[in-house]
Parts: sequence; C-alpha cells; structure tokens
Amino acid sequence: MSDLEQLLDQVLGKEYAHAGESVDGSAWERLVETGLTRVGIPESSGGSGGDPRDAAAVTVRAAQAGLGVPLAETLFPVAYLAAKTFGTVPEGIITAVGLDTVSAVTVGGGIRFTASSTAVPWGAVADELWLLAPLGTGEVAFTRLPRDEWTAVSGTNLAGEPRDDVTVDAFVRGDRVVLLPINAVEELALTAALGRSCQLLGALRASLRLAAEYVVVRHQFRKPLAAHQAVRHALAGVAGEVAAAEAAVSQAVDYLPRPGSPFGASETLAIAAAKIQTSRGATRVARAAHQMLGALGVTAEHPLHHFSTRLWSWRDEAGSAAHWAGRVAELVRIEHRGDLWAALTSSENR
Amino acid sequence: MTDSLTLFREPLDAEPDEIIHERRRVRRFVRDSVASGLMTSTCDSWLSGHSPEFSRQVGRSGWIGMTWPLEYGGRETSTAARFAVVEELLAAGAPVAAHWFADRQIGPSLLRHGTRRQQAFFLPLMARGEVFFCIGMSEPDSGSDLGSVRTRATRTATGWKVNGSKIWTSHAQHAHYMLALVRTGEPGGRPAGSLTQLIIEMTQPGVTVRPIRTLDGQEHFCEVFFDDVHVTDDRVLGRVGDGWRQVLGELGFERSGPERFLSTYPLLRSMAQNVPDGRETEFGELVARLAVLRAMSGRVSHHLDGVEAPGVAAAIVKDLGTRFENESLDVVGEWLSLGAGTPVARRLFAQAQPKAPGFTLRGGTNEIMRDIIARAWGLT
Repeated sequence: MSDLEQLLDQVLGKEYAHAGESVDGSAWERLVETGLTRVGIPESSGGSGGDPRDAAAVTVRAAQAGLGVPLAETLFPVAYLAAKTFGTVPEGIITAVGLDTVSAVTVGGGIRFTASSTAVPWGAVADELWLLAPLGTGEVAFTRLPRDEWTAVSGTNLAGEPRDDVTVDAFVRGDRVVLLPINAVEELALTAALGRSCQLLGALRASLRLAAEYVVVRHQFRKPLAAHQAVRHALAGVAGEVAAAEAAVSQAVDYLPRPGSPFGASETLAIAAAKIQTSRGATRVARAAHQMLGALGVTAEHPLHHFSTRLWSWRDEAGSAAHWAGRVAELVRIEHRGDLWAALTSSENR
Repeated sequence: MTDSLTLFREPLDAEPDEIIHERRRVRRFVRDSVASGLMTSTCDSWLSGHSPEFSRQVGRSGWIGMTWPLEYGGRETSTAARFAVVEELLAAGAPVAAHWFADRQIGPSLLRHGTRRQQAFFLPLMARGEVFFCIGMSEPDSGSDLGSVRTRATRTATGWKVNGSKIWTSHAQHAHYMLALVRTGEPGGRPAGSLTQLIIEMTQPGVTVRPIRTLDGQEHFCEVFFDDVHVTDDRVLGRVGDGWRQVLGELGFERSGPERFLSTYPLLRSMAQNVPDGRETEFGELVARLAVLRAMSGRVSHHLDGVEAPGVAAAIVKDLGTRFENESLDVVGEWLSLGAGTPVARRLFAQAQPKAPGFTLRGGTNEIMRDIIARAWGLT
C-alpha cells in the first residue's frame, strides 16, 4: 500500500465512520490539515504536489467514505484552470463554471461577465467562483470572482449536497482576466466529468461492499441470502460494474494531459468513456444494492443511502452518459472521419 | 476479498513504438490479404474462420507464439505486443481459428508444464502455423461441470489407453493434435488428483471425428470418439493427476482476451459511417464500452505471465464482454431494420446473429462466471 493510501486510511477512518459528513465534519477538517484537499496541484500553485493519480485516489476514497465535500471540484476543474492560467489556488472552497450560460463582453478597460447558471456545485458557499466565458472572438475569458461579486440561491442535489443557482453581473478589469483558446470550455467540462467519475467509482465500491457484507449475514428461509443463486448473480453483476468503473477511471487518469497541455481525441474518449461507464454503472448498482439490502437499505440509519443518493446525483452531473455518448459518436465521425478502430486505438499513440 | 478488482486499477503504460509499428504491419497484412482474396472479414472469426493457409501466413509473419522463447520459434515479445496483434486480427475479422488455440493456450501450457522435448517438438511447428491443436474438454455429460469428465486413460506397459468421447470440440476435423483432459483416477472421484492432460494425435487408429451441424449451417463443432487409443508416456502434459489444476490455470487465458468482446466488432465497424439519425448516442455508448473493455482486458493480460492466474478478473471480462457482443448485435440489428447500413453490414449481421447464443456459453457459461465472481466476495 502506498503512503498516500495509508494516510487516507488514517484520515478517513474505518469504513463508513464519517459517511454523510460535509465540510463541518472532522474528516474534512483533517483532509484540509493534511493538505489532501490540494493534492495533484503543484506547490508553486498553492497545492500539495503529487500527480493526477494522487488527486484521483483522494477523490475516490473520500467518496468511498461517504463524504459530501467540495473535493472533485478543486482537484479537477479548478486545478485545470490554475495550470492553464498559471494561477494559484487559494485556501477555502473554490468552484468553477464554464457553461453556455456564462457570457462575456468586452467593454472599456475590461470585461463584463454575466452568468445565470443553475445547480452550480457549492455555488452559494464557495469562497471564490472561477468563471470561463466565451467572448465570441474564438477565445474565452477567464476570471476569478471573490464572494461579494455574485449572488446565489441555495439548492441541493438528491444527496443534499449544495447545488446552487448562481447569478453574476460583474465588470472585471483587464488585469484580472486571462484569455484562453476556445477549447478550454470543453477541457473544463472533461475535467469536471473526470472528477465526478472518480466520485462515482468511490460510491460504487462502497455499495458493492455494503451489499456483499449484508447478503452473507442476513438469513431467510434458514439460510443466508447468498445461498440463493439469484442473489449471488446480482452481487456478481455489481462486482462487474465496479471492475469496469475501476478500469475506466484508471485509463482516463492515465490519459489526462500534463498540466497546461491540450486534450486530444484519445484523452476525450478516455474521459467520456469513464463518465459513461460510471454513470451507467451508478443506475444499475444503486438498483441492485437496494434490492439486495431490502427495506433496511432505504432507512436513514443504514449507510447505503449516502451512496445511492450520490450515485443518482453524480450520474446526472458534469454530463450524463447520454451527453458524453453523443460526444463520443461525434468524435468518431469528425476527429477520426468514421474510422472506429483508429478512434479506439489512437490512445495507444499517446 | 476486493483484491480481485485491484488489478483493474493499475496504470497501463503507453504502447512503445515497436508495438505501434507491429499494429501497422498487421493492418498492411490484412489489407493485402483482403486484396489477394486470402481472407474475407467475418464476425466470430476467431472461432468460425478456419483457414490453414491464412494461419501459415500469420505464422510466417511472426505472429503466432510471439511471446515464446526464440529457440522454440517465438520472438520473446511482451504480452502487450501479442495483445495488440491479436486484437488487430480480431478487429479485422481475420480467419485465425486454425492456430487460435495453439497460440492462446496450448503453447503457454506447454511452456508451463511441458517437457523440454515436448516444447522443442511442438512449439516451432505451432509458431510456423503448420501444426494445429484442438482442445478436448467438454463431454456429452460434462459441460459446465468439467470436473466430471469420464473419458478414461488406463495404464498400459508403454503408456496409456484412452476410451471415451469429447464433444463441442472446435475444428477437431482439421486439427493435428488434441490436448485432452482425461480421467486417470477413480471414476466419479474428485477432479483434483484424478485428471490428466494428454496430447493425442488425431490421425492415429481409434480416433473418430464426427462434425456436428449447427444452426448457422456450419460444422465447426465436432464429436470425437476414442476407442482403445494408445498414447505414449512422452505425450502426458505435466504430471499425471495434475490435469485439473493445469486446466484451471489455462482458463485465465481463455476468458479475458479480446475475443470475448470483439466477436461482433466487424459488424459495428461496418456501421460506423452509417449510424441512423437520432441513434448517435447508442453508437457512442457502444464505443465507450468497447474502450472500457479494452482497458480491462489489457490489464488482465498484463497478469497472465504472473504466478497466479487472475481467474476472477478473467471471469468478469468474459461476462461483461460477451454481454456487450449480444447488445451490440441487438442495437445494430435495430438500425438495419430501420433501413440503415450497407450490403456488407447486412451480410455480417446475418452471419453473426446465429452465432450469438454461443457468446455467453463458450469458455464457461456466464452463469458459471457469476458464481466464480460471487465466490470471491465470500458468497457461496
């Protein structure tokens, strides 16, 4: 086991000790203290150092422990923007928005950003909002807004995590704006999708574990549930989904470009495939795990709901399976001119 | 207990230049072979596409037994290089069935358990694509329950006398040898200690092969009868009584390879430029799943050299991969029913559909796979 995994064991505690905790819990406090909330970001950019594999490991394990915390946001999209703009990630909660709902217009000496974005992760509680907005000139404008420059209406996803409606109408002086090429918008979306894929993987692992533990101890008809082949096969199906998610996420992290480098077609396919796989797996695993745990699984007392509600939420965030499947089809058609095998194997040439 | 999944987490190195070069060489070879009429692209070509001439050309190109030692006709390449070549041939729908079993599992088994004389005799012939093996496992009364095989080998003064029969043996009518799992211990005894692997020459007296016609109109499955067939001691693979353990070790090779998810690939490829409007997301999902299955299979193949065969991981790849094959057939079939596609796609679909029931049966049924997987989590 690596040093990082050992540290994560210490910080996150045994199994589900901290399941359901958020930023006011002790697990988050320890993650911040130990610098794990800035892993994968260079020290020169305010991070703790390490590579994307480390960032993924922390994100997966926090989700596996059942935490609802702003980790995927910082370690993926925010880290990406920091590298792209040579910026520094400050302390606190940072979230990033880069959708069509954001626009930017050049006015004398600066840029006016307007945004009306729904369900922004941690949008009401963040200390900084990082915005990416198309300028209509083939470039996008990036800026960082302090908390008093946007307003937000609080909301939550099915797991109770903050997903807030954000409104921005701010004039930002030119020296606080960085211009980036237009593909930064999709790259930001890809990094967000990878962050969610890591979280989904963590919740998938935990769901498998909870189901496997339950069906061997729960007895009906004088035998454990696991004595029924239908139950064993349901569990095997869940294990297969988790295995696929493991490989998909591992592959996507492998293909993540070096900080600041552009994303090619193979990186796009690997990350899209990870989000598609983990999202489809989320539906199937949540359903199967609840079926195996019976009525117990739907109670507030049992930890399963911390994972199933997150599986349902994260599945639909940062681009659903259908969204990314459309992108993959387009990638084969356009980037690879219909040559499917070239699309599948081009990643080998990375 | 979750250790069975950790291998899927591992990073996989990017392919080095020599493997990318090897891929290009296979693609050129396939183009030339299609142009010269040596091959036609088909679905399920690893099991149905039997062409001794094609296999000889593949052997001559150095693509059979790539990982084997130089002295036995191999090239001592990495398993990653073999993986690349195999999936290129499968994706192209090339007829590789004649040498398939030799390359995938007989060769590796000989290297693990064979004597130096067996290795020196068989491996170079197999690597040249000149000697083909079939695998004698299933019997009329032993399908999924392989440990119950009854074909019996009894001791003689000079070796073994074999009586019994095998069934569902692919391409037995064309094979030179069979690697057969037979019972050397007590009838009805536990498989551990009672079974032995024998190399049986298919042309010798007492061996009768009867092809079985299947619903696809083909005759690649065979029934093989043994009537007092004499097998000399030097044709025992490994140790007498160790057959069960040896066979279980082979299954990792048999279940995790790209043939478990590429059987319908030529059909999907033929539709890549003909996806009907509004069905793009279905196509994108199939592509994504293929990308993930490749990532899974590649990670398992990395471990096939290791001391312990990754049996549970291989079972997972087999279960997911073969279900993917069926689903890809369902999706593309629907596109074709809407009027999309080309004559080539319709030919491939008509050829693949009758083979579909076999996808989730061969190599151990998916129900057996799921029992193996569940056992790894303590469910029995």
